[in-house]
Amino acid sequence: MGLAIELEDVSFTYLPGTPYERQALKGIHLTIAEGSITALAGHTGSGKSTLLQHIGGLIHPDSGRVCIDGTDLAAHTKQEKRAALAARRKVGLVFQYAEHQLFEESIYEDIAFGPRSFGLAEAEVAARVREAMARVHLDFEAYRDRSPFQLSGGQMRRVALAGVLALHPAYLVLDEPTAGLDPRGRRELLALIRELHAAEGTTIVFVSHNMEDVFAIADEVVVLRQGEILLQGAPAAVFAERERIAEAGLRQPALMRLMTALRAAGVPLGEADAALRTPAEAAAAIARALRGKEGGRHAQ
Amino acid sequence: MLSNITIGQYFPGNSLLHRLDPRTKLVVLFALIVALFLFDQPADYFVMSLLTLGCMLLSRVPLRTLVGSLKPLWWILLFTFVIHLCTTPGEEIAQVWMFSLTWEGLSHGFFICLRLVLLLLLSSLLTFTTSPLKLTDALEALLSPLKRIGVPAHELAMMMTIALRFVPTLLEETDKIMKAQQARGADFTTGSIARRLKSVVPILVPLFISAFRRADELAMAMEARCYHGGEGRTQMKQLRFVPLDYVAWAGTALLFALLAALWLL
Repeated sequence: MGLAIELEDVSFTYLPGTPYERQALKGIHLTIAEGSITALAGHTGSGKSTLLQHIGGLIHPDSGRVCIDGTDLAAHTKQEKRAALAARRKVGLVFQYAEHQLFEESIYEDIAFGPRSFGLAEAEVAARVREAMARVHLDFEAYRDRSPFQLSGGQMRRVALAGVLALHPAYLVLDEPTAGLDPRGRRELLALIRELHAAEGTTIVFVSHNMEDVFAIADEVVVLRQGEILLQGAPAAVFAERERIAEAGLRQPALMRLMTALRAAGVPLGEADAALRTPAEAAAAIARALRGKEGGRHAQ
Repeated sequence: MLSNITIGQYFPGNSLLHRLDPRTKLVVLFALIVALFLFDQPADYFVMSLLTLGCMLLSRVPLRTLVGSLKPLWWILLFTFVIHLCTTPGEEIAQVWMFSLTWEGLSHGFFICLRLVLLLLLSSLLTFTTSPLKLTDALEALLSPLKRIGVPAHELAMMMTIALRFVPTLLEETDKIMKAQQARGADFTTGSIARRLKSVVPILVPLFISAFRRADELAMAMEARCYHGGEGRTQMKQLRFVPLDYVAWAGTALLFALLAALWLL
């Protein structure tokens, strides 16, 4: 796995020199590997969205560097600018409440906006729209001419996601992808992200303050607190640090809390069982443990 | 990107100017503007400049921020100065093309520009040291005698409060939408004028939709809290004059007397 996204000593301050001044990032060092699903977790105001916008190249650090495939996103000379733009276009950024950016009369036109801005030919644009709609499970013929404003919240967000996928990003970066969705919309969107990752090997970075989402799909977690990285690693290892997670204003995922509580109540579960990520796996482990216990009682 | 708009932005603090009653500040500002236009002797300008400088120091707002609020005026100042320099008849300094530059024009242009600068600085001082909420409260209080002749003072003040309240929100929203469309490859800074105008559509449509959504939600929230206009409505923070305000009034009256005396001499 190559090093896809690198942040070196990145600091950023909002509105410097005014009473509203606020340092959002303090010397962040972070490497995101190609092909991974990385979650940036943290409380409101921890700097996670700011970090995401740096990766998308929309804001540049006050000090430090943000590199995509080794190219610095902050360009100074004209030559660098072209390279930086090319690097920036590898990153597909999906904003929080992405459905608020829809503006066209039809779903087709809205998804086509991005590819057209990139200067693609109309035939290629059409192919990309068709493909992007298939990837977010929207039927091309049924939906292409409908207004995006007549859809449900979950569908609108999928249209917005398709608008970014049509740009064929190598890195998909999402800010709170499930915020404000109903449980079904949330489930569908998480499944969609996992599918995209499995099918194309797209590197995915997403911000969330929902630890269930993080636990469900991430294979690397970065916990931020007040603009600094507090913890980083595999979800099971990171979430096992209950006190430090609480320090960041977060909680362990419900499944992990349940397994820990069961262990504390005397169910003979192994330490590793607390790291199980799906209800089915957890249920199997609990059933095994209970059977073992009963077996023991019968033997007496 | 859009966060560097300072004109009319409140600068929190606890200076003497911050603590003055907003009604006092409004009335005094009005009086000072009248004085600026009424008394046009160099000595008057000198006194007014000293006063403005004093107020700037008193406000504890960084000078750089205050002077920064003059930025939008820069071209107007230059234009005004050049026009006055070239068109005022009097003793000639030099001849440039078909215009003759005069000493009178030079001094006239200088004083007009000074007047504009002082005007803007004094008004910025008001908005820098008074929160928008207090400002509209003061407006409502000052307009309320006009209710008898049918001026909807409360409604006007409420409209202003809401408008001011949503300026930063809408700016933030615009910033977010611009970034989102930029992430989709939109380009707002290059191309012909027609292309650039067209590139505004992807920002304006989502902005309008969100503004209407917000308006709708706000109306609902206000009705849910039984808002029914200004009739019989009380305020949590009542405006009350303090000794400082009387000092300010007396000071303004004295200033007027001094300026008038200097003007007549």
